[in-house]
This record gives sequence, structure tokens and C-alpha cells, in this order.
Amino acid sequence: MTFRLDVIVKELPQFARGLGNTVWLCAVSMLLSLLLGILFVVPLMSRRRYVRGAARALVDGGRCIPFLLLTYLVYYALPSLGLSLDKWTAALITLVTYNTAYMAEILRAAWAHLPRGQTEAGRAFGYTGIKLFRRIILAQVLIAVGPVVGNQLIQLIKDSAFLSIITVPELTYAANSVQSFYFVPFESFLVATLLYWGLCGGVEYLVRRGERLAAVVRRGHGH
Amino acid sequence: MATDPIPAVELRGLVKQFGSHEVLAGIDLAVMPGETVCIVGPSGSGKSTLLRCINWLERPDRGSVFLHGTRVGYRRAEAGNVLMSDRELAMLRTRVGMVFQHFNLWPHMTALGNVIESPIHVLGRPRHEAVAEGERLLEKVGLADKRDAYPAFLSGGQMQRVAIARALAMRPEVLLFDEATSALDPELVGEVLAVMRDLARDGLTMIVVTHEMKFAREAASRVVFLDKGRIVEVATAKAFFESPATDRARQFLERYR
Repeated sequence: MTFRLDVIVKELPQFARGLGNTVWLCAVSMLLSLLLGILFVVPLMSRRRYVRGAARALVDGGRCIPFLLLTYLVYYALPSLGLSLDKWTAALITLVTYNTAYMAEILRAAWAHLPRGQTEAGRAFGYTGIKLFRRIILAQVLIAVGPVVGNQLIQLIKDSAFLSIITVPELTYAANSVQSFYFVPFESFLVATLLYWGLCGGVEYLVRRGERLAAVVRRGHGH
Repeated sequence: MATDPIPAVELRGLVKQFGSHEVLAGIDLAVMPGETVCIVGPSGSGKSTLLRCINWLERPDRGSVFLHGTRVGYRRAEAGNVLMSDRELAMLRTRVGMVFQHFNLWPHMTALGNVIESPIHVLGRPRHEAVAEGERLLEKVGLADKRDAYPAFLSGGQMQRVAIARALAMRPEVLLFDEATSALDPELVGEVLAVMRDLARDGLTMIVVTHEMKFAREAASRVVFLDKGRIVEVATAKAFFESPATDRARQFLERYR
């Protein structure tokens, strides 16, 4: 076979748009999920059993739906309940819902692993409630979860390919439309794969930077 | 000193149980301003719990704690005493400095960051004042050059000295040391004890739980010997170490000879 580089070059703008959409969809939903995850982690760590149980059920429910199924639910099933969403909104809601469940769980685990002495020192110095959470707990938890969040972002980037099912023009969708128009599946999917690798490689680089930062916090715990 | 009749810290009938185990079995103790009181005793005797009851990190089951005459943990109300809110308790805790066995520095802040954190964010002091005082305190503990270092890059002894500066920055009425040198490598113990000795000489009110008998002997105004949750003996350092009044204190001290 001949490698149709000409097609790829000609359709570069479409690949670029697809990549751009994948990047902003994942970046925005990651940020929103992280913020929502921070809100969710508080009830997850609540001393009240019922609060904790309810939050736990929600988070587990979110984590245990296949991403594709969740996409179907949001885009195809919600209209039956009278809630029709355009594909972009549906895509964001799906990404954020799915990912928030993971973020909350990741944050909870990091919080639970924080040495007890950290919050104890906070209390001894007059911290309580929100201020204790914000100044002493959250800052450390966010640094500690950096690498895990990065890995989750890689997962999210890959899962976002499913959004092509609801015709969101992200990278996989772009590759698919180029290959079906020109009948160049090998070239098109190879380019998409390389772009995903590049993207995840970038995230991976940040993960390693984050690991160094997390190590500083771990060692600073002093035992 | 002796002119001030109100104890900096007073404990009355303090009882603390963990399950059915009575860790503190009725503690009465008054620490006067300017005193350095060392609490010694075998491990498991309740020393740390006693210390942690003073600022209510551990909530006593019975008895009361007074900080310069203010009852800790309860507030007087029309219907009798009611439990303090978390916020009220937090404000009381700012008056008590604490130094922990494992330092518990906040690793996401520099040495100076640790020292100025609570004065700014809990006491609401202006940042420039907190920084100036923080730098002065770091200098006092011999770590002016480590101002911008994160705890991960400090030795245990340096971490503990930062932790002492952090406690001092709150200008506490009393400073509690919970086995401050027990987690340190032997060669690092001296630098921390030296700082503590200076503070005792400066006339700070200190309650020190320790296994360092040499320190207690040199720096303590009084020594409290605790065993099985009870105060067995209270005496001046000289009296306690030279002529302990009880057999149990004598046996305990034998091990440090």
C-alpha cells in the first residue's frame, strides 16, 4: 500500500480541531471534577455515618457505570425525561460526572493517608472546620494526589474517545471521518494514535514533576 | 512567679479512660507562671495523655483544666456548664503552644511559612509583623539560614527547632513539650535540648514530658513523677533526683543511672 501522506497533510486542520476539542473537553472537565471532588470529599470523610454512607453510594455509583453507557444515558435517555441536551453539554456532563466520582475517591484516599499529627498540629494551633481543611489538609492532599490525578487524566483522555458516538468532533471522531471520506483507515488512525500518545506523554511528564513535589511533602512529614 | 497567685495551668481531678483502661486516674497539679515542670515516668504511665488533656486534644472524662483561671472545654451558662464550641476551644488552644514528638511540621510550607502560618491565619496578625517575628524566632533557635527550606530538607533536630519557633510565634502562655526529643537520632538530641534549656532560663512557662533525666535535673523547677495514671511524687528537681521520697521513683531512677 502507499502511505497517503497527502491526505493527512490536507486534513491536518481537521485533526488539529479534533485534538483541540479533546484537549479542552478533558482539561475543563478535569478542573470541574477536581473542584466538585473537593466538595464531595468532605461528606466522604464525615464523622456522621449516614452522611458518609450517602456520599459513598453516590461516588461508587458514578465510578461503576461504564463510560460509554453513561454517555448513552445522558445523551439518549435524558430526553425521555424531558431533558434534551446538545452534544457539547452532554459530553461535558458525562465527563464531569464520571470523573468527579474518581476525583472524590482519589482525594479521600489521600486525606485518609495524611498522618494524624498533621490535623492534630492544626487543631493545637487553633485551626478548626473549614480553615483547618483549607490551610492544612487540602493543600497537602492536592500535592499528594498530583500524580494520581495525572494518571486519571490519561484515563479520561482515552475515555473521551467514546464521545465520537454522540458525534462530538473530538480527535477519534476526526480520525474516523477522515478515514471514511478518503478510505485511509491506516493513515488516519495511526495519526490519531500518535496524537494521543503525544498528549498522554505530556501529561506523563507533568506526572513525574508532580511525583517529585509529592515526595517533598511525604518526606517533610518527618517519619 | 510567686507574686502571681493564679496558676498558668491547673488540673483538678483529671480522669481519662480509653475503654475500660484508666489512663489518668485523678490528676491534681498546678503549674505557676515561669515554672518549668518536667513530667517523667515509665512509658504507658499517662504522661502524653496528661499533656494532651491540657489543650483538650484529648477530652478528659472527668475533672477540669484551667488556663490562667479560665476553664478549658466548658463555658459557664445559665443552665450550668456547657461544652465549648469548636471555635471557642480553638481560640483557647491558641494560648497553649505545643511541640510534638514527631514535629508535625506542615510539609507544604517553608520553615518560615510554618512559623508565620498560625499567627497570620488564626490570630490575624499583620503579615509583615509575623514575618519579622518569625525571622527573629528562627534566629533564636539557630536556623535563620533555613528560613526558606521545606521540612523535607531539614534534619530531625532542625525540624524540631522550627517546630519550637512555630509554637513560640503564637506567644503562648504555656508551652507543652510531648517527648520532643524521643524521635531524634541521639546526636541530634542535644541541639533541641539546648534550645529548650534557653527557653526555661528565659522564664517561659513550660510543661515537658521527657525521658531526658539530665535535662529534667538541670532545667526543671519541679519534677512530677507519674506512674499508672497517678502522680506519685512532686518535688524540686534537686530533691527528686537526689533523694526520691518513694520506692517507685527510686526504682524508676535506677534505670537511668
